[in-house]
Amino acid sequence: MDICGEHFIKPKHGSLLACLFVFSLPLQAEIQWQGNGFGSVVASKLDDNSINQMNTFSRDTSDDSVKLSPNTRLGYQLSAHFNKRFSMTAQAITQGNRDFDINLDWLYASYKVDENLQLNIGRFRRPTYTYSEYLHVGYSYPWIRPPVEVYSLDLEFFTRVEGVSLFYQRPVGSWLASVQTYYGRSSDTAKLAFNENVDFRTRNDRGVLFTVEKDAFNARLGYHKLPDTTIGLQSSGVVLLQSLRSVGFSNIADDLEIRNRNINFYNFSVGVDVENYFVNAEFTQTEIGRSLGPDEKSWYVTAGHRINAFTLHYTYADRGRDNEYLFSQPIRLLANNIPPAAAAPLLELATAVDFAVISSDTDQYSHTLGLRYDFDAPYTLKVEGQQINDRRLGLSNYLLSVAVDFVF
Amino acid sequence: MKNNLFVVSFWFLCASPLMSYGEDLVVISNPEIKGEVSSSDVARIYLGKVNQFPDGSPAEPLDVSPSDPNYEKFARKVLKKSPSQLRAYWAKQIFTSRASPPKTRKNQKELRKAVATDKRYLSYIDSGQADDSVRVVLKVE
Repeated sequence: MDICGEHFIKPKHGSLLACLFVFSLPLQAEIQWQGNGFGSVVASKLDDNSINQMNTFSRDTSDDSVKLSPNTRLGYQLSAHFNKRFSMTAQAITQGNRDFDINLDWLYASYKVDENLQLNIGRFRRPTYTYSEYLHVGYSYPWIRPPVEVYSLDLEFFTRVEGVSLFYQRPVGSWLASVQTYYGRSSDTAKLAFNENVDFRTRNDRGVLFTVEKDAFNARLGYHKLPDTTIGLQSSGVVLLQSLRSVGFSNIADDLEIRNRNINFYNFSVGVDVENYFVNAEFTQTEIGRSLGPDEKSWYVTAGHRINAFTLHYTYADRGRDNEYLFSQPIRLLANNIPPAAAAPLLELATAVDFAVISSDTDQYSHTLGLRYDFDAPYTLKVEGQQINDRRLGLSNYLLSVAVDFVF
Repeated sequence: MKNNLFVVSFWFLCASPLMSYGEDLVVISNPEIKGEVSSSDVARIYLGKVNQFPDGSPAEPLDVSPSDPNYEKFARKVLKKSPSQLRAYWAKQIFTSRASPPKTRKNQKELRKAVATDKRYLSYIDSGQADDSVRVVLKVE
């Protein structure tokens, strides 16, 4: 109101128009409300806990007792359509792996510039990977959870962006093509294993993605740049960096720490769905550079077959480090050149650095066999057996999950 | 006059439940919509991917309720999706705010009436329900 008052006597066209626009909204003939919800109840059991020691699954799924998995969640979305062009949308979600707090994943105003172009301002889910924007809507995909090898980062880090996004879609001959781009920032607390929380924030994030589809074929190409990213440290990391700095290895500490760093995400996916057979593949690459956060490549291939109300599917997923930085090498070199008594604590420090680097990393692959059964209108029952293999630990674990997904 | 009587009795017969059982569907637009509208054009409009007819005029799909037998027939033959695939598709569209499912009308008569009176609308009805007030743009066999 103040803003409008300030310009009331000596109107500036832009501000006045904006004020008129905002205040005319409630006066518009009819506001159409649209409410929709989704939910998933997931139970899972891991055959033993060994893989939980150092694995992306630790917080996401389960342990060796049968329990309602942290994937259990409920969401509701409310949209107000003020007219053909202007709408506002809020989506709230509560989920097990965030202690059933209520979070607003989406909260934005949307303006349809024309038939092809849409502008959103507010908070939205970052479209990092193919399923990122609707990761919680289990009903919309065949698995109980999209492959963790690709999507684990999406569960905790950089998920919600505050900013502006543009979406443009139009037919090109017999193809349908879209371009989406956004600019914004994010900050939150990521909840990690063993009840450790770390804060993170990103600034000046930008991303662009292209999609094309025709009949049974679709493809998606995405690039995201987070040029100014800071991620806090777990308590063990804080101690480690202090130790490094206290013995003169500040440069190693600075290298390890993710403070005002650039992160790039590259993503490509392709899918074919012919008759009742489908194949989807997604490939992603994360570049952080020399730091505790590993450069990684991850990918999966899914093949499935629909038979009446059943969908049988198989997925192979893989994730591994893309480079090796020998952070502890200078410490070991120094330790080799001093008397053994003085070298011992340095060697311990070098081991601690190696361990921290390994723990921040995931090197695993998995096989998933699943069945989706659309037994009754908005409900679907899913059963999945998964074999998870950790290459570094040389471990194989089995995870069994059952879920009911629904929309309303 | 004789001709009109014939037409009337023809529609009467077609409208009877016995005749409409297993009947073909037709996709209908307002007669003012010109030019060819293919099956994939219809699918794109129904799936909210485009909101224009191929001639560039605005398009909005109208649907029957999912409990209507025509719903599944149309979904499988034109949209190439089963009803549960279609629900999964709409779940994705709704929760990413890309598109909303088409509005519905209670029965075929109302669908035909809406299409006949507003050139934005596109719909589908039993072939026997189509008359001169609408244009049949596609036969679904």
